[in-house]
Amino acid sequence: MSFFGFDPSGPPSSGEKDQKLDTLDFEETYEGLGEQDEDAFNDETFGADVKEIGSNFDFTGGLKPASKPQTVNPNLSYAKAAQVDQVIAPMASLWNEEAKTADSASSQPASEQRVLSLEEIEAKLRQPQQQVPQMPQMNPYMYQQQQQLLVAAMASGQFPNPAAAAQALAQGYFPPFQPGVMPFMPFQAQQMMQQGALGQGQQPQQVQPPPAGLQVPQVPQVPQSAPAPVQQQQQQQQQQPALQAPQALQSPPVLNAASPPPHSSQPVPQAVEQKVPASASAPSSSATPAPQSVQQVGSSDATGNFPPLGYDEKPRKQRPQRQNPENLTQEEREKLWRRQNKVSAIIRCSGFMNPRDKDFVTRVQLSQIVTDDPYNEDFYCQVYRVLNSSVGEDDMSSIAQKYLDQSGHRLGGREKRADVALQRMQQQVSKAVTVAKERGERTGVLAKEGALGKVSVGSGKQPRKQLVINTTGSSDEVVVPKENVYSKSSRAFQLSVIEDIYSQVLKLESLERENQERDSKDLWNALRLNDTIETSSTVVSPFISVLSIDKAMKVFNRLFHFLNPEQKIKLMEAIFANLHNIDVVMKGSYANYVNENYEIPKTEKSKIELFQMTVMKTLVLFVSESDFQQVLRFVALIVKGGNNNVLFLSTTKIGLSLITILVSRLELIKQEFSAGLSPQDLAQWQTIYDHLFQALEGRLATIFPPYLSNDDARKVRNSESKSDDSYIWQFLASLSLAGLLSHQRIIVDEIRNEIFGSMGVSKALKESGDLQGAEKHLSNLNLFLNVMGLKASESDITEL
Amino acid sequence: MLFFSFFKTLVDQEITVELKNDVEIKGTLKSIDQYLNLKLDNISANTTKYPHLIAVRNLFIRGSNIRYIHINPSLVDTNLLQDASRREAMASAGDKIGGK
Repeated sequence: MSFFGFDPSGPPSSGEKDQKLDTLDFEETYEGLGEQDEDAFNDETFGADVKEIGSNFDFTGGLKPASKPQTVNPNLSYAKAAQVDQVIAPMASLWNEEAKTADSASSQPASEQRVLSLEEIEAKLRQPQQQVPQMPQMNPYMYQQQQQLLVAAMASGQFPNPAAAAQALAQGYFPPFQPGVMPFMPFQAQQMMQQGALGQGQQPQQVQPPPAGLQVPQVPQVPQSAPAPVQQQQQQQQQQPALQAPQALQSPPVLNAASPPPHSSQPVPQAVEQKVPASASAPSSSATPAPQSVQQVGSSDATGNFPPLGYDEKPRKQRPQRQNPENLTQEEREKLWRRQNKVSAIIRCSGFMNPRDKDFVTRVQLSQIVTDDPYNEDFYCQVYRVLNSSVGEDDMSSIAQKYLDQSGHRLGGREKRADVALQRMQQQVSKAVTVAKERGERTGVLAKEGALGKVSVGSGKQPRKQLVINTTGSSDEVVVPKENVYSKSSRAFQLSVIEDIYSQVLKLESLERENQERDSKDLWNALRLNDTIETSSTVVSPFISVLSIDKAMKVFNRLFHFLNPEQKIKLMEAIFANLHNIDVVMKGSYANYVNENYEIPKTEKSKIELFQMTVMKTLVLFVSESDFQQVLRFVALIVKGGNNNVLFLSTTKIGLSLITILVSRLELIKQEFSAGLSPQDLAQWQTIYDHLFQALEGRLATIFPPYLSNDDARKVRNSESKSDDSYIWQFLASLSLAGLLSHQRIIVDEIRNEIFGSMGVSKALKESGDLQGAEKHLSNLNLFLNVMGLKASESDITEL
Repeated sequence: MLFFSFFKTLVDQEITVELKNDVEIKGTLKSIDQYLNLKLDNISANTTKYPHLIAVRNLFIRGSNIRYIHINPSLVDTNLLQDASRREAMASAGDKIGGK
């Protein structure tokens, strides 16, 4: 079959005529270099035939063999189909050109002959296509959408067979589908071919390889250019000269070979090349109408109204004068042309993948993204969505919807088919989840016997390869590496305690979300309240020592929630008994900063604020629901620490606030539910109060930090002086509320200077115009005075 | 998957992406994948310095080209992020939480 250009000795065998060409060109261009052929190894290197190589070497190069896939192969991958696209392109343009030149330049019978052969080509090419009836004037794009829609519908399992699917989806113009025929690739390949033709047609001027080009030097008469290729064929093939024309044209590869690509016309003198279009168009003005109509009728007859393969609309529109001058106005034509341009731009890159390919890619992508364990691998997103959206969505459908939205991957191609696509995507997601589950079991790890570890295969979740250390060793007991054994006083130990707590809290929270039984034993053990560690000043339990670290404070509320009532009480008691040992309380005392003008460092201040927001909030909430005896025990724990302890706590904001809360809670219960209290309880409270008061008596003024004091003897001014002092007055109020008249007298006596100082400040502020500041001072003062039935103004104190 | 999970919550929010070639692009995050490749919509950039971005409205950025992503702090739930990273750490340490 040298016919198809497979004969390796093809070019040399093309005979004497080419050698004639050689003698013409070689002397001018190669300047005797050809003599070097006498190289001894030349034949070895280039083969025996090399001398005969002429100027008619094969310009189409590798294209010839590649054009074979035109006998469309159902097993063809789309990648190969894409190649076909390239290969076919010049061929299509050739048909254009040849047909045109045939129409215009040759005589009537010759052109008719040619048209017939073109039909034959098309018929041959369209054989697979004809299995599916064609929609008249449907462009390839629409056609492709149809196919996708149909295939999508079928693959979704909605329809028992293709026929049913086709029927369901047929929308007026959709042709009935023949059952049992599902030639995906043929469609694809065909689209490729059409697209190739269209794409090529975008540059008709470039593509216009005058078929006469090579022949021009020999046959200068341009009008005879059309038969010329045939002549060449005859000479090349040297067989069946009579049948040559129809046969040659029946087989596209040969056509391809006969028509050199544009650059092959380079040797042709410029003038001649320019002459060709002119000469081609010149006869057309006179003689074209008849052949053209014949050609169009013929082609439509043969192909059932489908636009002939070689005759894409583009070139026709681009040269409207020549093609159909009678039908359209200039405006219409331009509009049509623009539209065609657009369509071809769209479809040029579409249709490379059929729906199955797309589904496959989608499934791969999805299987990387979805997980069977969203609450471990996608915790943030899952919980964030729950927290920040009012409606809980169905998980699968939301993933599918989201994916569709994001990828713009609408299998239906149209908005109204989105539900079908969504349904399909949901199936994909659930499939992908199953795959992900399976994959979780067989971990994607490459193991080598005897290696230290395994190299994990890069996956979507772990794109980076990493060494997975063998943990399946025989040792059951956990050997903690030396660097992981912390000294109990180290910060690393404290942090590890907190992380333990977090782990337990997270586990319990997970159980809570699942509405399962939960056991707080592990959490309680993680608190390590029975353990002791040595700090710089004292021996406390680890939990007390970590309670001043930010993240421990933050987790306090969450862990407290999971403790059972006894555990809660135990924890509270531990805290109240060690209040002065909690770092944040300890460092919050102004007594530590005498040398720094009582300025509490910024970091401590922010810690105190955090403590108030987290731990103290929880404590206050718990205290406000505790009964009398319980609160009494807390106060007793504080008092039991000794006079110095109470005195120290009263110099801190947190300590003072906590005592205030406990005392006022007791008083509240006493006043509202006195009936429920036994005389022993009340007596006990009286004793404890006396202890508390004794600790403070004589030094009550020290509860005012100097920077908040208005006593001229004590006061110091720093950046904190403007801050709120109401917590002090609240403490004094609760202390006097719980006390007897004698207690109140002592209190007033001791802080007399503060009272008058505050009134003085208020007066000064009022005079300077700061009414708000003045009012604030007075109302804070009155918090305390009102308890005793008194009321202060700027100038004096009156009874209520 | 922590960052993938995190960035998924930023979809449809405005972010500023700073690339390794110093181009800064502000835009609405449309999608993100596990490699932290981004799709941005309605982008704006310093077009006097990078005029080739004038005509670009949306773009795809390969994750490996990103240096920083600036986000609105109010869009980040730091406590939740800490918990998520703890859960992931627990899972990779073999102490996996079974439930939600």
